[in-house]
Amino acid sequence: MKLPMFKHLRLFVSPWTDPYLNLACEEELLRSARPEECGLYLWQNDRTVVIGRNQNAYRECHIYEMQADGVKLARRLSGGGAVYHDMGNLNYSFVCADDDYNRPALAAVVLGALAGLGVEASLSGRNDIEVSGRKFSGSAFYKTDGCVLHHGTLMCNVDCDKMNRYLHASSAKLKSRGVRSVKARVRNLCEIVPDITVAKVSAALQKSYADTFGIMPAVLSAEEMQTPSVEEKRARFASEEWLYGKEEKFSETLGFKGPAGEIYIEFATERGIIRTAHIFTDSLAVDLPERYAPSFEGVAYGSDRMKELLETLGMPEEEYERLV
Amino acid sequence: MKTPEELKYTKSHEWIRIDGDSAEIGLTDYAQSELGDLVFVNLPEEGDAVTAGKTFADVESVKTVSDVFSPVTAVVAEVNSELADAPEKINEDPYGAWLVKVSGITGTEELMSAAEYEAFVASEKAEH
Repeated sequence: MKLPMFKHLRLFVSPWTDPYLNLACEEELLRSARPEECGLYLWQNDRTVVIGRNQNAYRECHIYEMQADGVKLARRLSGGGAVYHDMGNLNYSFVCADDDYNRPALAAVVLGALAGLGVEASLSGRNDIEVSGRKFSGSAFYKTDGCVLHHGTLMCNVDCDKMNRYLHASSAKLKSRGVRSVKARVRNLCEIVPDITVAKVSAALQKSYADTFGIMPAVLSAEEMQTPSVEEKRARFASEEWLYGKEEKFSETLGFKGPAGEIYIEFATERGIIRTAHIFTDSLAVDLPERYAPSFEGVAYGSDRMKELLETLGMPEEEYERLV
Repeated sequence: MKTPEELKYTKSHEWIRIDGDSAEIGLTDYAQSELGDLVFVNLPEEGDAVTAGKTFADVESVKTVSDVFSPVTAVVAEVNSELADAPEKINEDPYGAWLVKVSGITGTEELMSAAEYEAFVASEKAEH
């Protein structure tokens, strides 16, 4: 493995847990990446679902449960699927110029840090880090204007029940646009090394970063990151347009076999609320569409009320879990 | 690697097929092979202004989002909406799968010919 010839390293450890501010700092660091310099940024978001750049928020997570529990929604710059962050998770981001980018060398910084903590991990596929087949770290990438962002999660002690509560693990859809998440078997690092903490992983990453490239990083202070440019980026990451997209309407089709026959329903939704439902069926109850379609209007897509209505139409419960 | 003679190219690996003051814009064969299998294309809307050297779209391959830069300054006249359901067309036929058609183009000074682009790609490969 050829190491990139970095001459300077930068390091910023975010003192904040606001996902929009943290993502703004990440973009700021990315866009200020200079040739022959690498930046490492360590950050944590308090209870947040982070979706990939090209995902549909309503399709990937249970927005209503999240709102009820005070869990934030954020959209990152990079691709890939939805993840759940809480204070048991540590995020790392590497930023550098495209010409200096070397994915294996940066992955080696992470693997080196884990090895120092007694975790013998390996790279899996193109993007994940795992221990004996269970993923605890996903990574994703963004390239723009000659700079590269390579970032990932490290699950130390994440509340997996909450994770499953907020993320959609749907496997089948008749019609879908946008990038879908792939459900992975995950595990926390604390299952492997019981006394591991986010603080220990953070310290190990900082050490491995300096050791791997043989340079002491210049540490950025929180004050240096409090700039108008960061504040502007924060506002964009927190905006409805960035989170939900300019296309507010999307349509979904569900199909299932109920006691009355096969039923297909097309939903047109706007900001997660069903505006119209068209029901198609081979059922002999010919008035079924006109009788039930209006009751879906104004109902939140993916809500318990929608589930009740579908059950009235004879959708088996496990089908709902699978489809919606 | 294919680089059709009749097209112009950019250092950020877009191609442009100019016809009068209108043009089609897409990603080069080299770009699609470097990106790998594309899973999503994020295109602008009709009527959006695009500026030479600035981002106007992005494409996503395996977890990597890459910005696409406009070769010229112009206005988007048509968006290839087929790509929304079939981003793989860019991999299959990079010079057929245009992203946008634009009109009122200016700022063509920096564009490269096919031969210049081939030489540029060769020098990029040599660096890595």
